[in-house]
Amino acid sequence: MSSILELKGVTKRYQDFALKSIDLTLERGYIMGFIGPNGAGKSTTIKLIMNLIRKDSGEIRIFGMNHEQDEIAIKQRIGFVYDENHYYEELTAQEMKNIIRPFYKRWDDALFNKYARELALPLNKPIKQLSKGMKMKFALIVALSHHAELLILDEPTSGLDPVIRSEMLDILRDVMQDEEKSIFFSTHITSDLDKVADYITFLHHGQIVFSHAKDELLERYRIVKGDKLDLLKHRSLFVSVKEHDYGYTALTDNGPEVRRRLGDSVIMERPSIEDIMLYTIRKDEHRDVHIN
Amino acid sequence: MYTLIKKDFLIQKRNLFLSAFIAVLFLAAWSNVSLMFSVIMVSYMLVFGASAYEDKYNSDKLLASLPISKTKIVFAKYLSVYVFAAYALVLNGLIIAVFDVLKLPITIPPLTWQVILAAAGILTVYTSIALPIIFKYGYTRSRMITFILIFVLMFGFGNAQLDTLLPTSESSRLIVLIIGVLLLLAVSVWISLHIYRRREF
Repeated sequence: MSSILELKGVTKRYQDFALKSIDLTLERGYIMGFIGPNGAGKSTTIKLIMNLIRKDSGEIRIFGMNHEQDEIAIKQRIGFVYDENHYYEELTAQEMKNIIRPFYKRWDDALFNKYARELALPLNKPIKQLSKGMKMKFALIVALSHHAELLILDEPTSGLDPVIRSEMLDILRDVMQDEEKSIFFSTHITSDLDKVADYITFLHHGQIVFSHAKDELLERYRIVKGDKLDLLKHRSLFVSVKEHDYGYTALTDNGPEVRRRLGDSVIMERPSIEDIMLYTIRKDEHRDVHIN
Repeated sequence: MYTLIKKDFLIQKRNLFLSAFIAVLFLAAWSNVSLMFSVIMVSYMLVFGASAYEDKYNSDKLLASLPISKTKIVFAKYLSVYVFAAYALVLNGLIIAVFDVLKLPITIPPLTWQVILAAAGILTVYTSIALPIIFKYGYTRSRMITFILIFVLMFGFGNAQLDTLLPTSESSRLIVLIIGVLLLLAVSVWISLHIYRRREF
């Protein structure tokens, strides 16, 4: 059976920015976190997947279908949430829902009402009077109410308070009980992914740095803390290093080798996804600079 | 398509009320072509009012993400012109009826098929030019051009009598005129389709 989402060598060039040969694969039943700093190209990639912009080259297949030729059939099976509200704010949530409903063959009003109740969405207030969190909840509920098999979420939790973020993540986990579904979730709040993601794809300067299972990443990488003495010889073990007065903190992708060479003189800890992202970006910025 | 047009009405509750005042203003202020102008102005206001809302909330991105073909979005926009024109016609009819009942000293030329045909013709010419521009650049960036254009068309015909606009005596000339306008419309739809399918959101 084919992957639910597959990008092969996808490129998109703008005057001041380019996505360079994006490859990624998402299988059914998994959540992929799509991380990277602002301006890395996350939204551009999502626009390409949604066919809102045209790729320069490469191939995008969704549910095994061509994303341009079978656009309408594919979009019947996709739910989307973007970082900004695109609904007509003069309308109430109820009116907006009634406009969207006829476009989806598998729209399920009972499901919509169930989520609206659970998330306490006020249906009869104009959307412009809703808080940012409520608008996001509304978008999420709309995305979930037509039995979509693939959810595309572009920074859905940015700018939301922790309570609403946690509520939204709970819903996503609930959705994933159904093993036929997948979620593609772009965010720069990586702590959200610590909780829910199965795979992490890291985009930086328009290129994929890695795309791996989260558990494998968290196993492979280690935060290393030690004193300055051993650093000079062993810098090559580390992705990047932060030095301070009494020693250094570094990220390695080869824990066993660090342990073998440096023994008990260093402390090793499991990193968070954020650590992996920050140290990797750091490496990039210091590539040509001698670090002292 | 029906839902898309219904949406254009729903998002403009305020404009629908406002359009009644515009209609009264035009009906009261102008003379021999006031009815035609009123229908055109109200249609113009509602067609482009809908586009203004779309631009304000960047809802093009929403529509492009839903399972709706771009062809349908374009056709619905053209169709909405005539639906709004029908609304404008009914609205003007109602206002004229109220004028009558109140015995206001305003004489409005009777609603004839010439008036309807002339209004439809001018609106078609107008939207045939304006809509491809809006599909290309969005409402906000093209609003100066579309605004100027409606006034050029309005004042261009402002001093004209209906009989000079529509050569009622010579039906062959009228048919040629109608065919010409319809051709313009067809070309315009074709260009808009081409533009909108290639548009990036």
